[in-house]
Amino acid sequence: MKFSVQLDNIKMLDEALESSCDGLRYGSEFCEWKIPTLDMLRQVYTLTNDRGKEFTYVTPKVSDVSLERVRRQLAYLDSRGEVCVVANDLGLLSILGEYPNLKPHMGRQLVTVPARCPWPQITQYGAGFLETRQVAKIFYQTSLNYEPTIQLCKKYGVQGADMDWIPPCFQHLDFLVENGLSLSIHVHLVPVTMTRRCHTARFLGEEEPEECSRPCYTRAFLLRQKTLGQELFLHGNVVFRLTQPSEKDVNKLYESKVDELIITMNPITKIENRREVDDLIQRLTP
Amino acid sequence: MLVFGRRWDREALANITSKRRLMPKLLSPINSFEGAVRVIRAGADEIYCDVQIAALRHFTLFRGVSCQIPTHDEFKRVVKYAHDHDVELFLTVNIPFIVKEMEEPVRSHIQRCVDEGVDALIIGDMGILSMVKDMGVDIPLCASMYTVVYNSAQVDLLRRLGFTRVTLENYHLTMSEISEIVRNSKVEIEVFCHGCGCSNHQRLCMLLHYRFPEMIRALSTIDEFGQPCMLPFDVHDVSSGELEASDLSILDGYTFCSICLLPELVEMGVAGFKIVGRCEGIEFQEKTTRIYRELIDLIGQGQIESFKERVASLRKNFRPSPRLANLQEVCCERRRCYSAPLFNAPYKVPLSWHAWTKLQTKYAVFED
Repeated sequence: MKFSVQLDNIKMLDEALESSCDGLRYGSEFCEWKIPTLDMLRQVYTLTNDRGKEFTYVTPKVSDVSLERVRRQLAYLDSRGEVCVVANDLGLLSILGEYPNLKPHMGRQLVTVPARCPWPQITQYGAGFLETRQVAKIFYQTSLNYEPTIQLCKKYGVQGADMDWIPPCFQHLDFLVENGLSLSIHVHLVPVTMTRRCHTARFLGEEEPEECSRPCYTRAFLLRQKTLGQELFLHGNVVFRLTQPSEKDVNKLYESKVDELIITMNPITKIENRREVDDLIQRLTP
Repeated sequence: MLVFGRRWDREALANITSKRRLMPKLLSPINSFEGAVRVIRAGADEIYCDVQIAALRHFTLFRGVSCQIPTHDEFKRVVKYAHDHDVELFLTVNIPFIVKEMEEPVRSHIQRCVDEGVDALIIGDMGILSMVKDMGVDIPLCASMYTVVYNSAQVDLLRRLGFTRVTLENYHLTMSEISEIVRNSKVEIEVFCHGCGCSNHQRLCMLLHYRFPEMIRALSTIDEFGQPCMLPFDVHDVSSGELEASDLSILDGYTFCSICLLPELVEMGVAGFKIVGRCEGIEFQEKTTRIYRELIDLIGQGQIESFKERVASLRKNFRPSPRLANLQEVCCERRRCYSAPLFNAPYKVPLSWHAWTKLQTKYAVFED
């Protein structure tokens, strides 16, 4: 299993590349206004290659205007040889076939996982024991746990998919691997909800998406709900819940032949330098 | 000529009028036979609904059973009534997710509804699409908002997958983006025009509109929408730990409206206006349908002055009680319309609006 670091900006690029990770995932997973420029992409790709690390390009959902920008980036990456591209947009996924060297990988926004819900107790209120068990069994699967869905995705060239660190879901990952998908697991942050009308931008008074100062590069917010006793994290246009990996769960992922663990460097995970990346990799290596 | 700050001239209106046959259809929500009767009388061109799948009634993702027609027998009556009145009925098979354990009940459900004469299926998941194709169902397929369409490439993909109509993600696209998608599309493009907006993408929102004891307790503390996205949160900076705001409904749920923008949307070539509200009462479903019917017809007849007067009246008079907010305050001043910039809608809707939502319904109901 390889370890990759995911970054949506270059602030921590040096730290990521100096760490013992095997690969770098670069790009904006959730916000189209944080898509890097082509020049920036070129630089990061080159630096990553120079350090002998595998490069993966991460893309968000995109409007027509942003899709044109991404097309130019895809053409560049295609010219560099085989590169994995994480697509979170069906339209973008559908055009990846035009680039023979690019390896399509489904992002988390293309996979429905009910268990991303921050209140798992919803499975506990079925009418009886058997029904409650039935609900829980469905709740912890993903939209890819249905063979026709996987087959349709593979028809569009999909080779892998991103998943979340939700341990009760791990038992269902074997099915995906058996059906030929390469799986990447995000170690800490489970997206609970997301928007295009960015909550962070509004909270901090940003007015125009195109002129956004990208406060989310450096700031994130803890959202505390008193009555529910629930803590969520707001980072840019996404609300996450935070999970902490355990050794027992890592072993299950090794058994499931998961290909990649993804470490996100940002203020929420509090992994912001090479030492913290290396410590985590060491802890998650059996 | 300006209509509420938007460019709109008689020439454009004449152009629309000459294309009367291309006027968008009005698609209204129902959750009962009585609702179907009333929205059809109110002028819906098409109606859409869901039917409860008994075997899956305990697995709820976004909407509870109150949003669904309770039995297939009632659904059969709805189909007959709709067809007797030349209205098409769309079935939302709108589960954004399917796994093997759900396959048999969903398959039987779809087959039964098709046998009963449903005119089209609204589908939001590629697995369900595959199942429907495997079943050999030969009726039009409409791509649900759950497909989260942002761009023309996705519309084209959905077309190639067999969809003949695509519903755009509500309230997350700008008018120019909608226009671009419609211009490039070879299938019908439908937009939601009125109802409960949500800052979050419904397909990707796992806050889930679901009740359990702790949630009911939490929701009872607020005078707002009865949904988790309206819960108040204390907002702390992650790095410093400092409290930035207290009791803020930062996840933001609200009503949205597009009455002023109907002419522009018609001119763009949008094929359908869809009203949100399967979970709402019959009164909301009927009144909203009647108002939108009237406005669409005024546009179609080229009566721009009457249209402007009617919209102005609605904005001013939409006031469920003397102490509560009107449409102007709720949707215009709070920038809850399609033309609102993506980032700058204010957080706090007026207090009176909160009180009204608690008393009445989550959605803006038009007053006669």
